[in-house]
Amino acid sequence: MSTTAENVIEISGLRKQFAVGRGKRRRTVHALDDVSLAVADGSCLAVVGESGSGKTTLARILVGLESADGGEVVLAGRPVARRPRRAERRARARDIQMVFQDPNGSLNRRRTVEAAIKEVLAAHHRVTGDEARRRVGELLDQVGLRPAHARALPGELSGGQQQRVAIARALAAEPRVLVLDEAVAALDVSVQAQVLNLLAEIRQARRLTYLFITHDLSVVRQVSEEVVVMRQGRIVERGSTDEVLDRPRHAYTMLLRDSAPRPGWRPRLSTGADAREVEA
Amino acid sequence: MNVLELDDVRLDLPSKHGDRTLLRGVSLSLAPGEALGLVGESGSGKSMTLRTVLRTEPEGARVTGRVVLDGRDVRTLGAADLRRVRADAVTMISQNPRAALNPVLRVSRFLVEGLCDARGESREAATRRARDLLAQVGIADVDRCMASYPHQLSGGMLQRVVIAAAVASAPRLLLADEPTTALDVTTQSEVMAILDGQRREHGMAMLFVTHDLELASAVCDRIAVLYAGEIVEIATPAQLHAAPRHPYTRLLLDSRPNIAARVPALPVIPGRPIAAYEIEGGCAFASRCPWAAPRCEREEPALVHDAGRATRCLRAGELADELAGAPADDAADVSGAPAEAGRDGETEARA
Repeated sequence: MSTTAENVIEISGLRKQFAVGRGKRRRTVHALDDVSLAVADGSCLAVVGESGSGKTTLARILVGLESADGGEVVLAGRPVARRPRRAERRARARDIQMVFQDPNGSLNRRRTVEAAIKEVLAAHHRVTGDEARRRVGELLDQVGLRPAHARALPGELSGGQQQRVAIARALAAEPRVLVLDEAVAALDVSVQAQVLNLLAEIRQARRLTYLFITHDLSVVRQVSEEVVVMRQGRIVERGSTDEVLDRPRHAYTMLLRDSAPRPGWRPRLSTGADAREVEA
Repeated sequence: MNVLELDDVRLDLPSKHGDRTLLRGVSLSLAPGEALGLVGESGSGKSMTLRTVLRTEPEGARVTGRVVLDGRDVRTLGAADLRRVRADAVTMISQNPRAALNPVLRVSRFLVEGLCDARGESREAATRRARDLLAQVGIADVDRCMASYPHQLSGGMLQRVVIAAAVASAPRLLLADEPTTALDVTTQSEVMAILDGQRREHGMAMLFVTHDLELASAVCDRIAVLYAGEIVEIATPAQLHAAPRHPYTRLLLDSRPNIAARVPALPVIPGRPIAAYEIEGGCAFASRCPWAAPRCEREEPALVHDAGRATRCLRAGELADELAGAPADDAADVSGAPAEAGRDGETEARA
């Protein structure tokens, strides 16, 4: 993969192992095995995979929640230290923010929406007082919430509204990159469509770069320009979204595509064996 | 005779804010061997409807209406009869297979014990049958599976074990509540194929609760779309896709991203799904419906049955062509049959 100035994220040879099990069953799992990818400024890269594919580990290393065992991460042109100091971590958080599947994970249920967003404004940009209140209003407006929502507690909001707050909170840091880890997976279909449209609008308006982690190929088609397909810690296929979804080359990508319910679809028995054979 | 009939089932749940209505009169019927999908978003009452069948609704819930299983009203059964129904006639498969298995018992014990207890089989016969059942649900290494504890098996594997156990008692009715929602997509496809195959082979009827209209379409004969605690439309999957008659169904189909093509912006349903107790009179969907007319806010629509389909929309007749989604010019040719049927309610002038 060529290194160009236009890539906001560049990852090369990333490795991560976990030890699982106890006693005789103890073994090493390669959560990431030589993963390399680049994300162009302002684009959206979808990372597709099932459980155990390593997609969430990749995201967690990228935002600094986890450290890699090997390989390199370059974020906005700056190499990221494997064990960063506090100041470096904070600087990184200004560049890259994450939105999780469950918004409650990033919202304190005893703090109002306004307090949650203000905390980020103060931490990253030293914005407080009236200015902070004004910014909270702007951010809520941007994610389609009303000013009155500022005083609400997370428990008083619907799942879709909570996810909007989580997005507003991530945006408050004014990052260049948003990592969305199954961020729309838990939402109702009608609300999911709203949030997907919202994310597309925000990306345009703010020229953001997205790393969109999902298991859902329909979502991949709708949100991304490029896609990587991961399986057991490795990237098995990559390319433009249209190319990969219309003409998948790897047996596993084909299996994923054939497994997605859609009009005229029928569930099918183990075609999984084919993919495993190809892999081996 | 129908395996299951729900007649005007209402459910109220007391809360600290007073009684909350979750079901507002659900009526449906299920023929022997038929699969009916209950599709809806959160708060629609799809799981609650399912739970009234085995009387597993939350404690304190007040349920009215009739739930008739093989000719007997489940709601009035005594404890012993209810236990027999739960053991023999109906089996439930839930989202989390781990909840169905005892974590400290091996799979063999779970299956064999169930067969011995419920059907009075001998241990040997039961063991043989358990092994057969596991093979039938696509488990390759039956020995290893039998010897495993639940925590040693993946979610997909466990759900197969639960399906095997469900099939074992040869129930007339299978209740499946989002059985594959927690599974990976490739595993979902396999488990659904197994569930579907076993159901057909043993001639079981199924009530299948899911939020995924496409998944339901693939394995169900008919689909009931629920919104805010009531059924808004019942039709076959083909009818729903070709010509939905309720605006909510149309929008539900449209707002899901399409795996085959990207759209500039997804059509959205404004607002969020509401629960039954949030309805303020009139049509439950009126506040989110782009086709709502002034009378939709006042008049409560009834579920109107018509040639095997049913729709709960005051404007169903006048909207039939538009909802069928055919281009205005050739709407008449493309959606010929559904549009004809839709004209029943055409006494009102077209807007």
